[in-house]
Amino acid sequence: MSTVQTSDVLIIGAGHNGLIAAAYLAIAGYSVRILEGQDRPGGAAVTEEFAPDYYVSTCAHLLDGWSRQIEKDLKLHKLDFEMAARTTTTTALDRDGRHLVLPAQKREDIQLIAGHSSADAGSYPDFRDQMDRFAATLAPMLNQPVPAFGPDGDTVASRKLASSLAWRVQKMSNADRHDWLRFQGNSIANELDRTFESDLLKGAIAFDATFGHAMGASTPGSAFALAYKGALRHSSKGAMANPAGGMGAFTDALIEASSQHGAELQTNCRVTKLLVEDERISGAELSDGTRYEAKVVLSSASARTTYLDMLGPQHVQPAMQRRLARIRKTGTVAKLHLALEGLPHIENCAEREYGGRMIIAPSVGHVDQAFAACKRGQIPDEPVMEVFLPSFHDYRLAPPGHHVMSIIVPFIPYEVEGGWEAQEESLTKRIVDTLSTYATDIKLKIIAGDTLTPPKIEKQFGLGVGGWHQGDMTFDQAFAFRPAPGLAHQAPVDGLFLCGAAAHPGGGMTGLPGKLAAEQALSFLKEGAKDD
Amino acid sequence: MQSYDAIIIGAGVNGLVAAARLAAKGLAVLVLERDARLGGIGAVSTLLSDEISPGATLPSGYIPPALLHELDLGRHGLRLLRQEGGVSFFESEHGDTSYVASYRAPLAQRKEFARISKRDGDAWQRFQRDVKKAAAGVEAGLLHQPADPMSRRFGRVKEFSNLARQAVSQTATQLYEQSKFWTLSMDELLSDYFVSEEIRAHIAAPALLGAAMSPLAPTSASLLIPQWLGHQQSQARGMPDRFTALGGQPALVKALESVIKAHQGEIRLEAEVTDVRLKDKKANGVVLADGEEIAARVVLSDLDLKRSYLNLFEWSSLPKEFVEDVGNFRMEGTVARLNLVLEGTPEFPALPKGCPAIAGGFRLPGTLTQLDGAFDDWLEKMPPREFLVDVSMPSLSDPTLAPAGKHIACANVQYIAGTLNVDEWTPARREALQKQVVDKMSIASPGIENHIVASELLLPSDFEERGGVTQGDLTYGQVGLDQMFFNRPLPNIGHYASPVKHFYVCSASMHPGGMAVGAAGSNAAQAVLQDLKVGESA
Repeated sequence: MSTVQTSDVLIIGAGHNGLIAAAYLAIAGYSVRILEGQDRPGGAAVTEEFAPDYYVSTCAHLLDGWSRQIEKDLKLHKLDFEMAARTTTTTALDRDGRHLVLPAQKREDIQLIAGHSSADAGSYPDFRDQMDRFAATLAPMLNQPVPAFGPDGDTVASRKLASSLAWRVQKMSNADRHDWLRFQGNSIANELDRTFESDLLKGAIAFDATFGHAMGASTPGSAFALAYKGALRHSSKGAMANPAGGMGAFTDALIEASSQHGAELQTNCRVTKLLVEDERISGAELSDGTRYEAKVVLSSASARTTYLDMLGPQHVQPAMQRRLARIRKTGTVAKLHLALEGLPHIENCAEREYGGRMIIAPSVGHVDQAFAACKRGQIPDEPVMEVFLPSFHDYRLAPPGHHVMSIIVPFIPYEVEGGWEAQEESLTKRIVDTLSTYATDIKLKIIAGDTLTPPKIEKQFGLGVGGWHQGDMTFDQAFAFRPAPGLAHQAPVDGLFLCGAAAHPGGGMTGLPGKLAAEQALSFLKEGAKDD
Repeated sequence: MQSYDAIIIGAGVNGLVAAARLAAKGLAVLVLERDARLGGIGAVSTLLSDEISPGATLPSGYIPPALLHELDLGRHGLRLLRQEGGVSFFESEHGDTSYVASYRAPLAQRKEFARISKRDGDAWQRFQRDVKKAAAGVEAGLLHQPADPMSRRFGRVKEFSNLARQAVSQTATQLYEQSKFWTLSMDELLSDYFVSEEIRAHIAAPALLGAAMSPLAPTSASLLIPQWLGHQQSQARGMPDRFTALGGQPALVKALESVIKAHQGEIRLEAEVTDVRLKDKKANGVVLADGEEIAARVVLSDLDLKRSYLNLFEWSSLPKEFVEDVGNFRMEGTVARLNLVLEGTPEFPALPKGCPAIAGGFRLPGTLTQLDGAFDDWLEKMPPREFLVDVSMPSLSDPTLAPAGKHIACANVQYIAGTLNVDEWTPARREALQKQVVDKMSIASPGIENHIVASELLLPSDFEERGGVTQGDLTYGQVGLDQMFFNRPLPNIGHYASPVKHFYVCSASMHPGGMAVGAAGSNAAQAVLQDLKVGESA
């Protein structure tokens, strides 16, 4: 039995990127329908009550690299949406309480580095400034769609891109260009070894570079990953933000922004098939046979799911199928949420540190060892992690005086030796044990906890194999090669666009893939209108 | 005081090639070697006599034809031997042994892969075409000083813009095909062609030797290229040929020595250089350990980059940043060598009778995932659990290399950390490693342990101690995109320039490293000739 409903635009998946694309297209005056497979919208941006009266952003917990331009375009400030805190700092926690604050901008932050190594305090500002310059060189490539290269591509836009890149490279100093030549193919461990002495400083930067990726600090390409992340943050002027009410409030605002302009959101609608007529997209079909017709379809699912499962291999050339099959899996992470009876005691931790993002990664070796363990299907002996206390700036999330702690633990295997049923508890124990060497009284303050293993994250948030980025952002999977070469701006059929992390410029909370996909869809719709 | 045009410090193959090229151009050259014999790192073995040393260099098959021709090595007694491709052995869970062999004949190779997987037989053609194309791109640049792509001189600005425009005039797919050998991991690239895990490991293993990189690491696909160098000329369609000197490394060294002497060049053994003499910040000679000073217009060093600059100069005479950069040059050994003398000929029962490929040696690669684990252990400096064993048995095809009735087997073992994090390389640990390696070899040749009459295990620390190479790194500087081509050894001295005028490094620390025999020495000589303005007619 099939019913048919029609709109200009169909969006598959109501994650932040899908919602952002929906809002742009709705604002432009098109009728938009959003189909979400799960029972709630938001994808990885949700707030949930994990214990009675304790709320937390159960998947992503910070807006890292969030584009201020999108915030302005969608007029989120006019909606009931605000950030509990912006410009969140990153603190590398030290067992002896000699923490580091990154990126160290102020003199007192540099002083902290000097406490570990005076040589590092000297070289840090140069390193930071150079990273900023690398980011500034890359950033313009991330704010715009990659034009189609080649004789049949968009020659004007391609040449413009080439000349502007050449111009930016010319502007670099000789030293910067030489360093970049070495840097882009190198591992972050090698780069840090040549620059710094302090294990803690190196560990924190290596953690940041590899976070969420399937690579260790010693993996070639991890330096590029750091530069890429820097470029994404550059677009957002480096700010990390923490929405009041958690990530769910962010999702609510995005829904509001699109529904104000008539976009319709439907949950529990799992698209199983994309409909094609004359090599052009014509709509989508749900598992129950319900059909939706549309002129364009934007999918926030991965490239593989969208093209091979939904569209079907008959529409994809064998060479493309091979490339889709090879998209490198991203890193898998676990999450732990803790309800705390009061603020945990961390030696020498001031308000700024408590309110920010805290990293536990005492050395580059810790990052590499965690990665190696993960590959072997084991839980790392000393997991590295990102710790965040969202309730510090946001009273809504916990009862007065109480707190919630959200911990992301990268390098946790999707399939663990012994199976997750048996191993979940030892994962929790290992995270809490590691944590308690920094927050000494944490075990006394825990009221409730909730562990999300990679398979659970996959299931609850509909993320493919627990990966966040739908393909690591490495050189061979970025820019014109994202999601796969030959598929960057052209889906196998006309009118179909990827709008999630699989699309340029990739995963994270930037919102840029949604925005850029909407722009591409807009110009497609306008061209179609001209032809008609 | 004696005076020469050029002094070459160190008589490894690259040093001898540089000396031979300069001598052939009429320069008065003097080679100074610390040890009592020539050959450098290739001659550290003490297992057999000097004449039949199994050496310790990595199998690097490609001797650039231009070099052979220019030095006329044939007339000086060098004969080349075309090596067979070798065999990889694998042990199944049930203890059965299977194999993949490399043949020189194209049809035989295709049939061999098709025996394991029909699809892989066809994929072989496709793979060959692509890797040859990538190798051809590299080959053109081997015997040149790599250009600095970022230089601002000579209108390079415009060039860069043109380069970028040229890039975008191709489709993304074309760009990707061109760049994939430089961005993908070996495993990813090979998976694109071959279904069989064993065929992938068979192709990857010889390419991995010496590299401080996992076959699963992005960019490691680039390591596949060197073994295909020179393949365009040879026109062969089977596995790439490995040419070696008949008589091994010592024969090559002897031929080079003969060239040098024929051009009135001098060689002094047991002459250790401690300092490069400077005048007005220019090199003008050397000081020996006994205090003797020898003057020269230029000085070349066949030592690795770190030893060349950090040991031969007062640091204060070098730019501070340069000293830091040299300090940061990544050198770390990954290979141990087990040399064995075997009584009688070992048997390989898993192979068909008379299989010619075994003369090219055999390897036990395991799977690429296991090798990735082995690399992780190396990174953590753990005692090795898994490792790659690549055994050459040169005496199978060249009987001059072993006493009558005997054979030599040289096993390169990777990844082996030079220092361990838990304890030392104690005699017991060495013995355990040797046993592990021999056990592994017995998968290919059961009972091989009964043939052993003498053995010698060389760890990275032995290479450092006896051969004088920093950290026992046989690649003279780890290969990775950050230390290859124009980045080798450092981005700003990639083109044989040096902060010290009239001083040149000519070892494999320079471009193209170990990719081709003697090429680094030849390139350094070329730079000297240019700087001294020695014309073609000289």
